Amino acid sequence: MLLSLSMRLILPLLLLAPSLLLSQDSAPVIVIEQTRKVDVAISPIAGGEGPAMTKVLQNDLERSGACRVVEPAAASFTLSGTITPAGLAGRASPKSGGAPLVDSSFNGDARRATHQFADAFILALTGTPGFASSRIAFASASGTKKNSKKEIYICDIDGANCRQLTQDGALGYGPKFSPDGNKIAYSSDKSGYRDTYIIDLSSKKRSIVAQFPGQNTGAAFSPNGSTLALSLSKFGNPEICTLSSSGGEPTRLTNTRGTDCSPCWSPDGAQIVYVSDERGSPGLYLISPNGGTPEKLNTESSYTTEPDWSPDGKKIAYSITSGGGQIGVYDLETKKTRIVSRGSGLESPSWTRNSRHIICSQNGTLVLLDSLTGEAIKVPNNLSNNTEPNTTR
Amino acid sequence: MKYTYLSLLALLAILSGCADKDKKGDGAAFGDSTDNIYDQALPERSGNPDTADYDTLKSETVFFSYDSFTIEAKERPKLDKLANYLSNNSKTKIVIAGHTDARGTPQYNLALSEKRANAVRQYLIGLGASGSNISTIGYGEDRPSSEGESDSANNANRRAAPGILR
Repeated sequence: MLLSLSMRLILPLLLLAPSLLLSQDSAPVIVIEQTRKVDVAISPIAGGEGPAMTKVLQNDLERSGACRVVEPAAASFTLSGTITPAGLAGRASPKSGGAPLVDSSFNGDARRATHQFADAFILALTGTPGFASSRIAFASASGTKKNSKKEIYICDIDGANCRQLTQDGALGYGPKFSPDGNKIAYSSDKSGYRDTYIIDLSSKKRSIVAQFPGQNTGAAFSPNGSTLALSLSKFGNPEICTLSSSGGEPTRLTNTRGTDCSPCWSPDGAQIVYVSDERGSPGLYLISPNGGTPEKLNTESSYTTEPDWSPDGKKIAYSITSGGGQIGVYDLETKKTRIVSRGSGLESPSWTRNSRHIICSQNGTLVLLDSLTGEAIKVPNNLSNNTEPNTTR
Repeated sequence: MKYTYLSLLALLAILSGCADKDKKGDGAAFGDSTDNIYDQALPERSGNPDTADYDTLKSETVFFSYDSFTIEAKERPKLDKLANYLSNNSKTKIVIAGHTDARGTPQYNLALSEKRANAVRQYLIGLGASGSNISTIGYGEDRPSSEGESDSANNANRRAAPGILR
């Protein structure tokens, strides 16, 4: 039924656009999995910012995908808290009585402490880290189409605390957090050529790490933060290289006639997934950070880019351009692929800590995509043309 | 010693690349993924591509097919003219600015546009131009010459434009 419906939608498109014939996708349409949710209630949080933080907490719990917020009488757990000068004291008590699931103090401003409370509850409830305290770095364009500028921004994963990090007046691309979340690597042509910079978020200082001839872009930190993988064209062709995150001379990993870009490390640091079009249209390849022969991943789609390795190491999310802008997930154990998004115009996936939700952009808006249900929730901000989001882990 | 050995290898690679090219004659377009052309390392940077003069050599702008960096036969006369211009202006430094249409994702489009610029640069070197006078930059989809995603806009935007660095 679903297949025949999608064929009816696709066939007229094929007739209109012959080029699509070459890029027909055979990956299955989204598989809807009903995930069980735990019913929880929130007692109004006490303290000056209590009412606002009650809403923040409710939002966090609902977005986690693990809870449904209900009336206290129907809840299996009730969360309560008090805003303190240091942050928030929070408790999550089971309806059945007995020891609380969470009974802790969380430091930081009220909003940060509330997110940490939500994450502690989700971790205790599901055994998987919550992502409410994560942040997003992204690029946002302004100005006319023909002469736009793209600056780097940062916000909380619920869209709050959005602020502009760069004032380069240039084209900035691909912000990527360091594993500890304290640094952001990105590329900009503010010098006239596309260089790679690192912003230190605590000292607010920026340094240049790669300014070789040609382009220096797509830098991603290794899991221990010491090394960057990036795309350099100094050899006359965009190739994947590694480089100390303090700069120095690069080591070339790939040697192809094609366009090699968008490297991303496996969580154990043993492999790098990247994009190459050496066999025609762009696809995903694996290579060791020490070099060697690349291995092609069969994603069953003809135009796949922007791979992002899940924190649990089991999956790689990527953009499927040939399907009009979808997010795909490749399972490294089963070697099977799944399209996990609905609608169109989605790109630039970045896994959150739970290896289930994905931050991506959809037609210039940031969204939180649940890879199990296909639901996408907007991450609101007042900016337009938001691209290339990246989340802290 | 090791250096000499590597140089010899490089020389052999260039020679075999040339022989390969000769065998193929006109049948294979430069930039084909099957074409074994030795990559020409990029020169140290000069000038600023963002403020280069893209008007003077505008008619030598090279256009590309979707998701391709192959220089098509119909575009080659433009590069003959450009190579001629460079040989008559041997002190002029130029930049080849590559671009894509609005389809595709940002990083791949950056790399593809850089690859298009590199393909033009290597073709010019093949015609005898000095590689040290030709820089490259890829602007991806972010410096369109034509707005929108119509076929005509897409065709106009998939290009590599020569600019005079100043």
